[in-house]
Amino acid sequence: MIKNNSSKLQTEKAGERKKKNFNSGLSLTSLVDCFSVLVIYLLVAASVGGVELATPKNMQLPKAAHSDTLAESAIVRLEGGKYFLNNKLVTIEELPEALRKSQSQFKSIVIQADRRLEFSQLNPIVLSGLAAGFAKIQFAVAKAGEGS
Amino acid sequence: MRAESKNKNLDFEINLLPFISVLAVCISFLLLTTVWTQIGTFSLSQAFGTDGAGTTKNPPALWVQFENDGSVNISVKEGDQLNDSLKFINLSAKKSRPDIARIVGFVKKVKSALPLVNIALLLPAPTSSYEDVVAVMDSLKRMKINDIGIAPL
Repeated sequence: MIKNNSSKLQTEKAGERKKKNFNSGLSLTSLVDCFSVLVIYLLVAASVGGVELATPKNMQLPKAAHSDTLAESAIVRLEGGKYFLNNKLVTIEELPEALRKSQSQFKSIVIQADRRLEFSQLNPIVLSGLAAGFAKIQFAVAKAGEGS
Repeated sequence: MRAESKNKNLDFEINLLPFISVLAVCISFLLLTTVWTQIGTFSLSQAFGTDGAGTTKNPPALWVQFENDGSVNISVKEGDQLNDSLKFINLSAKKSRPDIARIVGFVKKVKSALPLVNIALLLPAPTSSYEDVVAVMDSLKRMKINDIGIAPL
């Protein structure tokens, strides 16, 4: 009994010592794990995202579920009745020539316009693209879910 | 003897702080540069026609003609083996917009009778809205018609 009691006392003392030496530092391993997962997720998102296309606030692109990924292209934007080729204002008369010049740099053109526009307003861009010799003309759309 | 005792007390923990700093910089950079807005494109093929001068027969194609009132006429070119009911249809507008559900239904019937149909040519009216043209293109893509062209006005 005496032996048992003394051993109990010894273990209690050891426990006290353990508590006193408790390491209060943050466990950084889990933090590193979280960061690694975030980095991997962002790397995958960056590789899937493709090319960025700035859309003006008042412009609503038409929605489509079965679209292709946007690739590097000459971007023709129709905004407020004005035409912009790669963010530079051009008149409709200048557009075919400007597109012809950009043909060495780009293989296709992307038309960016508001969904509420009539096709007659987009028609000059399609004709200019064909006149400039672009075989691939694309419409920019907002990606929607499969069900919508 | 001293060297031995030093080896025994060697601390093997890796210093994680520089690693965390690098990861934090990576995360900030990637957050700033990743493209979040999902923008796609619809490609228009302009390199096909149905009035070839040669003797080779053109592949079957759907011609989708938009009317000013929102109705749509669909005709199947080079689809000789099809029934007359599947060669042409006029689909009336639904709230002055093309009736996408009926377009899909008709194209599905054509596809089941003529699985080789892979080409469509859209003929929009001047007043057709861009959104409607894209919606019809999207429905055709859904029916595995991948070669879609558009006829300028």
